[in-house]
Amino acid sequence: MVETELIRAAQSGDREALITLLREIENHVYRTAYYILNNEHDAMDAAQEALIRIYTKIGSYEEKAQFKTWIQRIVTNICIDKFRRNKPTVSIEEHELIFAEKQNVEEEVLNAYAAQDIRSAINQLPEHHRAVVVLRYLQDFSYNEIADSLNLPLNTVKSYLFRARQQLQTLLQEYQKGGVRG
Amino acid sequence: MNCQEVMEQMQRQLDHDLNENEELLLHNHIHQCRDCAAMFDRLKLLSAELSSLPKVVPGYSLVDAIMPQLDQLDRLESAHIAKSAAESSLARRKPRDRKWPSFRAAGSVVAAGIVAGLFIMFYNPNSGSRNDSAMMESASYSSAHESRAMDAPTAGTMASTPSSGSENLVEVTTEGIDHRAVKKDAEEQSVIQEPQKLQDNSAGADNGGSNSSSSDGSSGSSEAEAIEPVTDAIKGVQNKENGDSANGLIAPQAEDADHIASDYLGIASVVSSIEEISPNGEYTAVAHGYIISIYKIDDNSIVWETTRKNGELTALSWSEDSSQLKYEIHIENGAYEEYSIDMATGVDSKSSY
Repeated sequence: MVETELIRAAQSGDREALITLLREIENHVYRTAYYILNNEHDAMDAAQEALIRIYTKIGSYEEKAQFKTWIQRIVTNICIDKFRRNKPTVSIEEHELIFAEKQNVEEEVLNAYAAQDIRSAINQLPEHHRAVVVLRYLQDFSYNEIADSLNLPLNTVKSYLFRARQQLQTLLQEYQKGGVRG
Repeated sequence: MNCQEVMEQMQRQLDHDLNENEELLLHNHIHQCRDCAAMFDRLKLLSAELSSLPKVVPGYSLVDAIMPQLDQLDRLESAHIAKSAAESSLARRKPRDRKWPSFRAAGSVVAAGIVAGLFIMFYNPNSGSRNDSAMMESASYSSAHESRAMDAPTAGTMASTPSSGSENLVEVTTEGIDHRAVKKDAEEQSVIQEPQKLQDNSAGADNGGSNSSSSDGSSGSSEAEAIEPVTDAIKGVQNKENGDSANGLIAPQAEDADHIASDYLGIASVVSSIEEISPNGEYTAVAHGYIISIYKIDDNSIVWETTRKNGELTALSWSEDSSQLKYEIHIENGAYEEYSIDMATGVDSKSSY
């Protein structure tokens, strides 16, 4: 994803290399924030905060870790903090989303709402389950990479991911039934 | 394999975590168990949908958005680095024996001297018409310049002797600056400048400034040799400044030279100093930076010098019989401590009340 040479240059104080590096990772950082926080505005904030932290902490990155897991650890930590602070607001938006969706039952938009359903369902997951799912599906991380990013044991990662998928599957099934009835 | 175990196999299958044998077992079970087959279908669908979630991108470049903050961080960082570099370089010098010149300081001084010399040459409208020896003089002045800053007041009263050459000057200068740096420690921490050389340079100039203003004419014996060539060099420049013929008859004025020095070096920082003469007129106590020096007025010799204190030194006051000097050290948050120096015993102690 990111070349080692670029990272080394950035670490040795090459500001231009560091900026280039940030540009290469900004979409990845934003995507994680977006799906964990389920809100564009908060995702922008969190991703910017993460990039600034990466900018200032680049010297503390050690090559024994993968760079991509290092940056995802930074962004997920920020998101989880933010998520905890924002909890009441998030749950209100959640209800609005579900409400809006149930009002609209036209066939042609059903496909578009499938993605919306999934996002609503992801939004129901506890924070760490959500982070595991996001890293698995939006960053294409392996179990080990997720474990490194979230600083969790491998078995915990698996159990979170499996439980999350089971819960999502149940929620989507409920949404589908709701949609048919609505 | 029961359905519960199969659930885990299905999950791992979604993550491509099964070996061939496990795949086979899973498929065998699903063929026989409709519930598990239905569940596996739903999970595969879910997994596919999760994989196809839109790869969202930010509406604008986040890096561009944070650029002002990054610039600000850089400024803070460089200020911090400059400050800590100054502290550490001064701290390193501290334990060094004053008799040994610091080659690092020498390098800085020579560099500063060259800069100052160039400044003078370009600044002085007369210098263009001067011959080579005038240029040389100017250059040697600039090397001597730092050392003059230390000893200027004395220079004014010394007899002029022929210059002993720039090599000697540099050596002497080094001695002077290192000596001062040891004594003065990190008192000009408030000066924040990015290049290390300027930092060193400012250390010298500041020290000199504070010394001159305190009418410090004294110097250790090791500096005595410095005075003569310095005086001579100053005269050369002084004369040029005044537009006089360079015959070296006019004694330089330390204050003027001092202003010239700081103007040319572009260093505006001032280390405040307070002076208090004893009631019997015998001594003068000077607080400069974090150190108090007590001089004998007769011959300007240092009779006492405190260690470096951890706060601003104020409220210097002599006892009526001139046997004691009291002073206050202002630490952070408005707190202060009272100290006194006993002139008879030379004991610098914290006042008990």
